[in-house]
Amino acid sequence: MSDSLLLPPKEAGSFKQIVRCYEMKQYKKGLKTADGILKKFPNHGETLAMKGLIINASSDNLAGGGGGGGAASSLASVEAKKAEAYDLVRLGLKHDLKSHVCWHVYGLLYRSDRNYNQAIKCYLNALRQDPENTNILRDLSMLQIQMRDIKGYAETRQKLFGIRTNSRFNWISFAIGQHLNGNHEMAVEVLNAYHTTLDTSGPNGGPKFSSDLEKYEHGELLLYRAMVLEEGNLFDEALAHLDTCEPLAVDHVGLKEQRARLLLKAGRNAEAEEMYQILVEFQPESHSYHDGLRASMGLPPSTRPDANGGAATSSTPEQIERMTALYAELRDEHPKCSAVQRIPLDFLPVGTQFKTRLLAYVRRRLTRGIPSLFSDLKGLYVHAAKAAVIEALFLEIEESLKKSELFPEASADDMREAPSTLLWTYIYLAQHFDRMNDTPRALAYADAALKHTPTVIDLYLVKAKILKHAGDPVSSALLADMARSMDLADRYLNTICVKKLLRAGHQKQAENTIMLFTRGTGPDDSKHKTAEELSRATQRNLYDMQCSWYEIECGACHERQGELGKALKKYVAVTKHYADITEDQFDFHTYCVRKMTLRSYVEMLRMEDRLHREKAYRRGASGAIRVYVKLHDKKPSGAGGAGVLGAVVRPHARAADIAGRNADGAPLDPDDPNLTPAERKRIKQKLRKAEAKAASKEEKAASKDGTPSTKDDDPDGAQLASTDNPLGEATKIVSMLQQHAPSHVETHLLAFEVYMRSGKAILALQAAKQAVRLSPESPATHRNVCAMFVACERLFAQWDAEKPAEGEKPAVAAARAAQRGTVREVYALERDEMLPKGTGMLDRLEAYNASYLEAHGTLSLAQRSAAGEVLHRMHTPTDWGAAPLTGASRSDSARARGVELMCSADASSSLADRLDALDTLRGVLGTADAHVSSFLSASLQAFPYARCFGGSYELPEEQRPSSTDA
Amino acid sequence: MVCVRRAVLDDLIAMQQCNLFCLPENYQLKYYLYHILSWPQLLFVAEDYDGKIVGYVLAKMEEEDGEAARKKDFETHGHITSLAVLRSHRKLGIASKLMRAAQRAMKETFGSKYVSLHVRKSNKAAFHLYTETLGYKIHDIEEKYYADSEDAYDMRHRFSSSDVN
Repeated sequence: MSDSLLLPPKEAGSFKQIVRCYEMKQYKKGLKTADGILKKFPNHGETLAMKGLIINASSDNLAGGGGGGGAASSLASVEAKKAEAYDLVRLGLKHDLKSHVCWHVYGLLYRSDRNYNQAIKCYLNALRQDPENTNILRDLSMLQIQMRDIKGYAETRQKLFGIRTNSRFNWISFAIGQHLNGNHEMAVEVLNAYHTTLDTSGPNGGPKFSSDLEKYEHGELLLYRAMVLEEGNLFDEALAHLDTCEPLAVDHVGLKEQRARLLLKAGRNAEAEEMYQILVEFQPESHSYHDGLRASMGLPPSTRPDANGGAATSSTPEQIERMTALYAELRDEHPKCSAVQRIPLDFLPVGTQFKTRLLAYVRRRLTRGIPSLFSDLKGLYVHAAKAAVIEALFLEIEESLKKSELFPEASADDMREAPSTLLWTYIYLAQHFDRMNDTPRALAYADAALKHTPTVIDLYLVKAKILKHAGDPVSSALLADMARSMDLADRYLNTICVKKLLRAGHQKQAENTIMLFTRGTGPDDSKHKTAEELSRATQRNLYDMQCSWYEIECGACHERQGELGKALKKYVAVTKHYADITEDQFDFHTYCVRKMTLRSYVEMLRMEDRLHREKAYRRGASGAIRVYVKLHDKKPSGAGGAGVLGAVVRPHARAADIAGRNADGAPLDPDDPNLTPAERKRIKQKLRKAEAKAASKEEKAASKDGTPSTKDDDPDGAQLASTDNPLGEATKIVSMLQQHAPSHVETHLLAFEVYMRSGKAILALQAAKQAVRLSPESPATHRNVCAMFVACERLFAQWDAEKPAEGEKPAVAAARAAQRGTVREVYALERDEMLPKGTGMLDRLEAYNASYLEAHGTLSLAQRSAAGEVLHRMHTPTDWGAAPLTGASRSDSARARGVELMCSADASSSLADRLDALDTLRGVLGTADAHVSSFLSASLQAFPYARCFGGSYELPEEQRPSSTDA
Repeated sequence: MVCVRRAVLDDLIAMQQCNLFCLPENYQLKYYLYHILSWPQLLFVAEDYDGKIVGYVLAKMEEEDGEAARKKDFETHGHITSLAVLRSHRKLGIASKLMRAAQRAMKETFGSKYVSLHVRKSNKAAFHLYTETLGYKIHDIEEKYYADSEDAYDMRHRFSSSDVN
């Protein structure tokens, strides 16, 4: 520190006081003191920095505390304060670049804004001035682990350990750093060395514990060492360690589980089997214990969907025999256990044994009226033969119960079954036929059950599900509302109802329903709050509670209705929850080391690393990307600059999204290109009315109470949606998905759409290739690849036709030419790799399309429809068939073949596939084409209740809720 | 068939969604994290045959280093923060299995002397489970305990030294 920066003793004392004030949160006093110093020494860097830090801290207070003024004004003032804070700290640094205090403060500032990477840089600069400052080192290590700079974390913890070895925290953190950095042996050495510092005068060679808590912490530490050994593949050492620490560890179950697992890993199967037998004995319903037992006995793994990735494993007759014997034995030992009865149904082949076991399994559950029986057995339906046996058996049961009130094969002396057994048989059969896509029989059984006992609430949900699958979300929602009205205190029923209302497009009613369970929006609150206030409070509460399922469904509902801002708001909310959960880790980096829950801590780090793979995140992120893409497409052309690449791709709608559309199948988006002018006008009018209504409500709410009830100043996402750069926003989310969810084809399909629109040819190509690799049969993938090659041909032709811009520097032109050359080269390579050989682009694409059709055309209508679309577009001169694509002449017969393929639905075609195909047809031929209407009527015949094809299901009066406040 | 097992970190998000699905008292994920990172042995989930989480118990300890320990006559004890089972999976005895698993761990791993919980006065089904099946007794009544100002029963179940539950 240069002399000019040294304060005289009096001011130096004041400076210390500022630091204290900051720590004690006495911000006013701190500021006053700082201003006092600055009056005499206006250029004192550290004082300037501290002043900035305090201003920042008090602005955080402002943001958190709320109160007083309106939302917008407080937000603006927080931002102004933040800016002032940064200015002051930077000014301080300018005056005292060598001060570790200034750098530390700068780091703290960034940290408070969650800008951890910048904060790390500042801390590293601070350490350059003061390498052994433990405060800074400690702060730095927390940021490093948070940002997963594992190597840096390990180094920092090692340094801290070197400075102070007499702290338990430092020992443990040093070991964790080594462990996470893959240096397992070193980690174990550190833990061992720490152990030698402990008192061993207690029982079993452990310390004397003054409390249960201390004993627990010590046990956890020992088991952490076992974890490190196991992860370092030191299985025998780990087992030996478990033996010695067994008397000291208090987590006995965890220890036994680990021992069994280690024995299996070490190949000591006989001992592993013994251990798993003990565990199964202890908890016979545990899936993983059964899995372990089978593995240790050399038996094939379970076919449960969650085990083994759901891959079907075939067992030899010898293995089946051994498993049969094993489970017969376990059944004797645990007559009440479900697992030992259910598991054999998976591995037993269809035959007498299977049927006997199945009957025994379902019999008890039908008698007791277990609602989850169908969901329990539905995994068996992947085998058509087993599904057939189930069907025959349940029909037999129905017959038998009707005839004699007895199960088949029961003796005449047995107790008669109660009437409810027949009821639950009906319910099962309704679910069964729904699964078999036999809607008429499913509904017949559901109605038989409803006639039998109309008071069983679950029944209404069963029927609601059947109707959902049949394509009538509106009647489905009515039934769910009926179920809800039968037990208003049950939030589960409320949730199902809300979900179905959203699927049916009733967003407002859904909100009014979920409101009954959100905080501060109950019946009492509604007396003194306006509808608008209640609505805001509901949405706020659901956001605060991270209610992702609702936000995803609500976003989808808005998206289907063309309310892009509102949809975006909900989708983005989901992605924010995940950012918050990432942030949540921060406090636990120190907490867990103190609590000694180290195994769970390490698992938490790993869970956080996998976090963005979660389905809810992917759904929120995908939704947001889709909306950004739509926002981009809506922009007047020219402003967006979609260019040649973007012009070819059409937004791919997911079947599930289309399924919720209104009766006539017309999406409520006035900008949809498939609409006739009259339709467009009608929808626009509708939207305008809705907007006007909302505005007047808002006005009323505002006049009643001057201040807005929540702090959200963009509740409807209007600001979000008004972004100038929707593709840029979408790209950010795309890279998150690419980083965290690369094994999902959806990721690459979305990436493709975004990159094509941004004119990033190479990135689009990579995304298309990834999609082909993951899912070569996917219709969306196939369309994308074909569209991409067409678009690129056009782009290259455009480049060829371009005249050099006037006054352009030759160097710029040359650079562009070089870049374009590279793009062409890459494309030429990929084209030759992906497409069959041929003379012109169209010929080659046609051959590519034909081979796709041959390989996947028998899978479903979806594949045929995609191939048909490609064929048709290619042969249409006003479409892909336009110059400059080279190849055979466009042929009417090929176009006809394309239409034929797009219409090639059959009895097995699902509702979703038909919807998607209808969408494709409309896109290719226009809404007015005769093929569209005949496809539509054929689809209505196949799905008479599907609203999207113009059908509906008429609910009988007694199955409707008495009042609906839609 | 439903499996009851100890919860792992990867279950937390599903537990939170299960809670939001069927209970009126909800928590941010951080609260679940706090539980599992403090008492990893005390959280259990019920998983159906497809691996879907259909129920859970979230429990904690009141330990000698905590706030509650300042009261006199303090004893280390467990507390059930939240218990849920989806309606679709009722009648399988899942709730009592979850409760017994958590109680056992409180006793064995943390040396808990008793377990406490709060239940809505109006929640007859839960009250029945706690009193009849699990042997809880009313210890106190907390007025307006819930956000909608309903009263809660403060219930306790003392562990005997011999039985595990």
